[in-house]
Amino acid sequence: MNDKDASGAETPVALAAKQVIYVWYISAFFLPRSETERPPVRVWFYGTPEQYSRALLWSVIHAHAPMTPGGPPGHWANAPPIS
Amino acid sequence: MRPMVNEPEFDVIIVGSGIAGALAAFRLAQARYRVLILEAGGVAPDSIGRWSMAHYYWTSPSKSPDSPFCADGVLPIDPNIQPPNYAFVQPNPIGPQDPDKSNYYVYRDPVDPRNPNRFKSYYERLVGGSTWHWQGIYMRMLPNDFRMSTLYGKGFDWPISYNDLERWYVDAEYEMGVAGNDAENTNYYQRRFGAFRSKPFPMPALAPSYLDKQVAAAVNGKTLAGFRTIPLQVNTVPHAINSRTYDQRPACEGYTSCVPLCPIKARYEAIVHVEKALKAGATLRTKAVVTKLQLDDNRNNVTRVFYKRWDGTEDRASGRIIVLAANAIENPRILLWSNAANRSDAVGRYLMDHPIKQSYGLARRPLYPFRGPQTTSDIAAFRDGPFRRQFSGFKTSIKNDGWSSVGAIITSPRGNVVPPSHPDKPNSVGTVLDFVENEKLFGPDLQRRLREHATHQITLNTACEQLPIGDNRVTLANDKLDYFGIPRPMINYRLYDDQNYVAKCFETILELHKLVFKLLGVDDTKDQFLQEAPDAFSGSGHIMGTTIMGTDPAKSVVDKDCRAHDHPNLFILGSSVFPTSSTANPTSTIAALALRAAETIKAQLKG
Repeated sequence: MNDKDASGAETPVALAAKQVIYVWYISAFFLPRSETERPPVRVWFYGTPEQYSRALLWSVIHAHAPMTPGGPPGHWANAPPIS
Repeated sequence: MRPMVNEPEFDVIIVGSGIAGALAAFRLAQARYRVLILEAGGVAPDSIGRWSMAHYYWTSPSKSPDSPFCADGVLPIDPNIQPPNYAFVQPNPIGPQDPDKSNYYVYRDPVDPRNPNRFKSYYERLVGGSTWHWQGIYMRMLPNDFRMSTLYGKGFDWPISYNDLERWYVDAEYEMGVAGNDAENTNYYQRRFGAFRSKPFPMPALAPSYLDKQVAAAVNGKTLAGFRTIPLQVNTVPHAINSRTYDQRPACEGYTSCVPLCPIKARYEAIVHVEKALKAGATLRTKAVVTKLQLDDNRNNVTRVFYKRWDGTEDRASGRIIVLAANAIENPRILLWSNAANRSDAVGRYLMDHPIKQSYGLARRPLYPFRGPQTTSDIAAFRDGPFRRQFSGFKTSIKNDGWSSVGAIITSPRGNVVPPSHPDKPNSVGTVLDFVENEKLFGPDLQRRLREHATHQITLNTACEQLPIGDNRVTLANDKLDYFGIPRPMINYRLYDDQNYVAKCFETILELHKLVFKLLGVDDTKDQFLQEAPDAFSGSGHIMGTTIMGTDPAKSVVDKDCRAHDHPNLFILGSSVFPTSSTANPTSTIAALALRAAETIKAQLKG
């Protein structure tokens, strides 16, 4: 991905693509805490609890979001079912 | 105006509602004594199950240990912080950068260049105390832990033995609900360490994880170079977490969030016994910060307890027996400010923690972490042995939560911040943010990289004992007051001791980490990350010492029954009475001592 313009700044498309990845993978996007702060500090905004538990990351790594059900008692004793 | 009351208003006043205070309050209220619990913190919003607390966590950006408790009026606030709002006055030494504004502890200047001079453990100022976010690991001390001076010439002997405490360990295990493996205890802990049990565990152990089994298959029976008589063995960890329904609380379903919160109450928390104490008739006053104990004219007995509410108003209460159960920072702070119980000059001294070395790596085969309770097995081989003449005993937890607890940058697998680029060690972070921002991955490449990294992650977390050293101490920072006008705790703490007891232990710990990683096929050229820097360590949250137990009133603060030598109606509970630290998580011993002391208090009230 060519994510920088001629000046070395991230292109709007690259910035938007990353935010889509974050929403998809972790159910969150970020905004800078301040427009002037350097380096910028990100403030993350999470979606609903449902979105948190269904974020793609967890199924990719065969796990579950922390503080959400992982399965019946003792499910962790075996390797996860991998389809 | 304060109404007139007949004094003493209460039979027992208990300062602190953590595990020690809650258990003692319950037993005493159950025996129909008038019990008052004074708690400095607020009440977590628990009225609709755990929904509201879990909701705070799910939607919080940081997913930090305090996230579930962020409702207004739960954790203390500091109006002096700008912007003036809800930055917590939690005693967190490793959080905010400016210690004088937002950090509760005050430190002396470093005296040893190797020593960061930071005591890294803190606690929750909250009804239920720090058991709100503990892993529920429930290890008894070993018989030899009580005899460190006699056996190894280190520290002190306790004035009680494992045999004295064993029935109280059992009592606490059944009161709280503890899951453990009886056969392992007999075959390993009893055979190797003499740690017998007079009754079986109330519940069978939580199932060891798939990850544990892979580690056990690789490690069991192997030995560390130079320690051929100490075979390594992976054992299940006893937990105060239900493996079946117990005390009307459900079995663990593996939410993998013991810290910061079990959303279904499968894990025991002191709030269980706060609730039971209230049902039995105890009174709870929250947001009540105890400032001072008042002694009678002869300085013999404690007569009143003064406290300030969060709104700054002051009140007091009187009791026949006073119990300090406010942890090993606050217990000495209250005593020092009250000029009480300190004829020995031992109050505040012998501050201890279980310093941690934590290493992380990527195993050759997938281990599938991020599932199950955060720790289900450990390696306890080095908890005791003749080597304790030279270096600390230690215990290694095998973490089920990948690299999620490794550090602020590596909050795997999500990541809270973008790590600096690290092309020389490409596998050293492994978060979504790392792969997207630094490796520019997306689509199938991102999925593959994430999966191959996260499913192979393993963290070894090893905590060791620390000698009781008189100069490691809590005093009062008289020129730095807290919000209530009380001097904040001045912490004088050195990680390393003059005998290199901890330093040599750290070397052995790192050798063990290297061996375990090697046996798991971790590539030490690119996938192994050891906490090797001498000043790199973590705190366990196990704050011990500062009002130690002993037989000699000239050298210790409380007697074998947790009663202050100087004041017969003052009891001190919690790990502040530990004369030595053992290698194990202190909660089981805190609970056993609290139940034992409750019986002593009952007898004293009857007498």
